[in-house]
Amino acid sequence: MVVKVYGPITAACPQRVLACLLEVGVDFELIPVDLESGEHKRPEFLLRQPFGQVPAIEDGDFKLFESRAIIRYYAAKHAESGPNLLGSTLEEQAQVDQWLEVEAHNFNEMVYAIVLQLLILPRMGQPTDKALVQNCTEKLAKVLDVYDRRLSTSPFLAGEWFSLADLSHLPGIRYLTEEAGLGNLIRERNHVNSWWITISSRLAWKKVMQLLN
Amino acid sequence: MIVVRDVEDLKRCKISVWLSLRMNLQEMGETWARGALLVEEASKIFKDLNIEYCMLPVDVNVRNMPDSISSRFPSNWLLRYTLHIAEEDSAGVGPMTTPVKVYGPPGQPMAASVSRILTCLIEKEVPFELITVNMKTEPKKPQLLRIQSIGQIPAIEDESISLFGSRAICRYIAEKYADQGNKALYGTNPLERASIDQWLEVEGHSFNPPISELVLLLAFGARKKSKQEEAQIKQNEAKLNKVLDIYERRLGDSPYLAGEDFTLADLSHLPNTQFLVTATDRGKLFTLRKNVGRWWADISGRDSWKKVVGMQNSPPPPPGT
Repeated sequence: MVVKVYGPITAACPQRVLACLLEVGVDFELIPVDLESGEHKRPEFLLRQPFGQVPAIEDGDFKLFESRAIIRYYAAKHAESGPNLLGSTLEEQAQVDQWLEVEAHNFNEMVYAIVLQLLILPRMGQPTDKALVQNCTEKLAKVLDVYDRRLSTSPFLAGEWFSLADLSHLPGIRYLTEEAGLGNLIRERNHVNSWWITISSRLAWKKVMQLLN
Repeated sequence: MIVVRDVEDLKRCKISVWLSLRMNLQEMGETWARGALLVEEASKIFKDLNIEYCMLPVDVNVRNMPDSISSRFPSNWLLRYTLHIAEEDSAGVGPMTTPVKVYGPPGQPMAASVSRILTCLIEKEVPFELITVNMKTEPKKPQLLRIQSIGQIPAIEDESISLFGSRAICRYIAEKYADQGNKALYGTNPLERASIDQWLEVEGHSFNPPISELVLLLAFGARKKSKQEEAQIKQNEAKLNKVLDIYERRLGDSPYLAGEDFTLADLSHLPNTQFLVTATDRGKLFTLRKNVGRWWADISGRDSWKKVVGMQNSPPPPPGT
């Protein structure tokens, strides 16, 4: 059964879901949603995702939204057959959950604010709040310092192996290093930098990049 | 023997307690061991009765000090109180669990993230010990840095793991103790769990940001608001209203967010909604919506939440009195 993923390939949250599906070997069909024309706010889409956000998935009769819930579901479903993205013990899984929460709250909040100011608002003809960008960049730098300390003790965030916690960062860090021009935040931190190089070289992520280009 | 030594200010009573112990002078080791047990038992009783006590100084051999990452603190460093789930409730459930240590910030009211964790522990009938730590005034102790490298609390520690992030902690507790307490809390199959995860994410990304901002500005902010703050209140109220409109439709289709049962997804909403409803005048955002109002009355009426609210209203005794 092919999983239908609704959302544009250019948005971070659909990228997160596709990376996971590719890692665990689940076939999918990407159905684009045109954010520019407001397709995601129209009634037909709101039936799928009541908050008017992307992505949403449809797997037969099963429907789900929120990218981090989707990746948890598929990682758990294919834990036996594919790479173990969730850990094999309860304690390993808790570590993955812990760093997934850090990504969602400490990391993503800052990255999203920066992307909003630097990329989305200008596209809508609105001004960038430079002070806010500076503020968020400084906060993000502090968060990445903590990551650097963590990654000096283990190769991946949750431990010795690549997990959903690392995967979840891929779209956000890509934005930082490319469109936002803040790649220095990554390059200046040795352990974060080698971690980024490792996780962005994974086959599944490279396939997502191919779809993007 | 109990000797009443003094009554101070008509509200404090100083007593001395003399414990007596029968000893066999031929077996001093055994005697000292029994003496230690007696003293430990006495201190447990004092703790249960909230009696502050102090022991006379003892010479300590420095070569036998506990490990530097011991989690025990001197009593004048922080407030500490214990809540034990009554053992008769968990009769027959299995071996007694070591209490989970929950590290949280001091002061009243309890932080939303802490009450979220405690509610989950109570739902799962897991004994815990709440240890308050003031991360601003306490120097960064190595054992706390190990637990919370982001430098924010809360965090938990049990015999297998140290963990931070209140929603990660709730997931861990619900999964580890899946077979006890509220069994539906994190779903009984993958599809139920996926729905719970979905609404937990919604709570974290769409619900929590506007409501926590509103609570901060309205309940804990200065009485006179600046123009900027007024604008922020308006913005966040509008965002919250949009989310609650969606909840109103969802809760018309099912009794709880993720489906038929009360789950972590609903639980996660309790702390900040409680603040909004009791400490601001915006509670009507919830109570004036038919389905949301019904849902709120239901989840806030649960025993576990009432217990946590009760903990907030009776602060622990201050140290050193």
